[in-house]
Amino acid sequence: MSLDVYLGIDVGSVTTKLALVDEKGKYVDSYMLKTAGKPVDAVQDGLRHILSQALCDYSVKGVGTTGSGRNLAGALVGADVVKNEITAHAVAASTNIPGVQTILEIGGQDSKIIILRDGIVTDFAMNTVCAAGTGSFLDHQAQRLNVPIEKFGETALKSENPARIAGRCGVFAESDLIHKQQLGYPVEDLLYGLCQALVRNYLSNLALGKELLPTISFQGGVATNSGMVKAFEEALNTKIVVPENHQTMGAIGAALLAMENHQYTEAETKFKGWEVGNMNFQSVTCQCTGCSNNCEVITILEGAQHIGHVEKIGDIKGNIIARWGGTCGRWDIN
Amino acid sequence: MEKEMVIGIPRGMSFYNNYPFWFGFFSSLGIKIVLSDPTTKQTMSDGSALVVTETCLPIKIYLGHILNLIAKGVKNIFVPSLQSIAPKIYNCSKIRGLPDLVRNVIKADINIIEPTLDKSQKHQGLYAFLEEAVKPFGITNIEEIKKASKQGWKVYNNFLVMARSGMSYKKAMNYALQGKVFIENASTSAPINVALVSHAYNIYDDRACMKIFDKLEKMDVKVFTSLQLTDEQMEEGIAALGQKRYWANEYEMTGTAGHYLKDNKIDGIITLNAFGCGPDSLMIERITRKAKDSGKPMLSLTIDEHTGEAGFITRLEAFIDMLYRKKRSKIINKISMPEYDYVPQTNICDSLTFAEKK
Repeated sequence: MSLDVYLGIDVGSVTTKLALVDEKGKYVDSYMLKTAGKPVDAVQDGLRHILSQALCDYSVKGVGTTGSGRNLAGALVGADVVKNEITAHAVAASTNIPGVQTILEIGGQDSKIIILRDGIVTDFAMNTVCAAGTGSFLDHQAQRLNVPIEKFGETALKSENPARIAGRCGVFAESDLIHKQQLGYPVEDLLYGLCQALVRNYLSNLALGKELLPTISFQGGVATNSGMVKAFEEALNTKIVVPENHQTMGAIGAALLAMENHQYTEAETKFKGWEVGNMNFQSVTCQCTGCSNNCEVITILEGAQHIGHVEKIGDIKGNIIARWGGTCGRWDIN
Repeated sequence: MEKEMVIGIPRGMSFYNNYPFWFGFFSSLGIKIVLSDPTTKQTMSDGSALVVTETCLPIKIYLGHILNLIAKGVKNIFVPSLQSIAPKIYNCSKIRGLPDLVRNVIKADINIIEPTLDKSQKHQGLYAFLEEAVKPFGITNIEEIKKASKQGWKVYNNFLVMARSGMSYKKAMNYALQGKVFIENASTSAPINVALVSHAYNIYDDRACMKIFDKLEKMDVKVFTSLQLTDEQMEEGIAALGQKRYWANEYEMTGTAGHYLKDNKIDGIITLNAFGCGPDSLMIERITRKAKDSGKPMLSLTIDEHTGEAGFITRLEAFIDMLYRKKRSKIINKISMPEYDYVPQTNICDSLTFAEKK
């Protein structure tokens, strides 16, 4: 007996998430691993893992990819839908959290706010150049204070007199944190103070002028941090919902989008099969010398033969599955 | 002494608005035009290296184009100072002081042709401005200049007619410069219509705007800009935002936005501004407030020389998705709202008996 499923893959800057939903959009399984700078390997590992922990046979009816590595992942596995993470998170939340009107999403490098009304996105914002308050920054600070990131929330919650940290900018927040640490503040006060500072930064940067109505859902990796959740609850003076699968919500959304696409078009999936987990992929970078833009063009190939150094992009032969990086479009493949 | 009858025009700033006029005007007087090459990464980095970092992207690009013209061996470079285009209607200080800026940062043996247009202080007319533009070439006959300006307006008006009919900027420009006029049948309607509100030098420079038109077209979006509007419509647009015109190129911003905010066929507004643009930051704030009041979705994009394409695409895609989903929300609701109550974290494989959980 096999189960009809839709696969969603969310390749983020720090972690890669995979999720399966059934033909009714119900959650089946998910898995998260570190991208560790190698999105191709991460996607392959993830696929192998999902298959190895499967309790029944899966028949994949559609695949959706999202996240900053969505195009790459889409080319690797043969995706039917390649969508941005804002749409993916919104779809996942509106399906899984009844009455959601606001989504706070903080990942490794990005933070976003999505406003929904009646299940439809009406407004959104993404952090611009500032990455203060995202997962990577918290990770870095926890490491510096010698607190394992898993213990961050727990430790922060112990704070009784949180330190006042300047959260306007990550660089200033760090120097302020060091200053306060040298004055002898306890670690828990520093950590919770940092949470409060980052929440202030988030609300003034992203949520400015937006109406944050309940139900508010907090998604993405940083939602694991109970200190951040508490800081948000205090700042917004309302209950924050952290969905059970908050870390894999993007992947669930991608899977739901694949499902929606399949039910809409009834098209056969382009999924290459679970074998993708064991295939060989390689990427070759080469500079185009066609004009003064000197674009760096990267080519992704499927197959075992090794391709060493190449002089010209045209010399790259083999089963090319994706290529990007050019501005003018002469190297695009369809 | 025989003057060299060649003028170099940098592809930047007012070039994108006024080039058809200058083409007709200079050509008619027998002055050969040399254009700088379209913007590349090199243009941007060369220009950026010359000025303080706070300077806006279009100015950096403009300076890069001047360097490009110098490299091409052009001696006379056209850098107009457009101070004020009508009484009490001014340009931004960077545009007003453009010739001074160029003179101060570019140390090369060039002859800057810098006519000044100032209708507020000197009550100066257009002809005086044009006279100043061609004086360095030894052309002083006012009748000749008047005739040439007529030729300039002809090319410019041809361009406007074609652009207003909905033809793409590049096509309209090409036809106008060839002296042709075509009117395309209005193309069939697209699922999504978006108004792109920005200055010409931001959106018609492919490199600066990262080909936003192509990106939107690929998503099946029809883009409307200030080019499809008449001056009267844009004047009304500014009035609709409850303000009087102050900035010279305010038509392109508040005028366009004000008009399209009232237009029912437009699903959403995208504003694109260069990071650090003073006038735009004021105008976009006003547009944002009005858009919120009228319930029109709006996306604000900011560009500078470091802007990554990934974040740019994500925002555009998410915005278009949002508009698209809004339009077919009824169908979406039927699909994405499951009939059963959601029970979180129920692994449905649990109900299958043939396997044990690991």
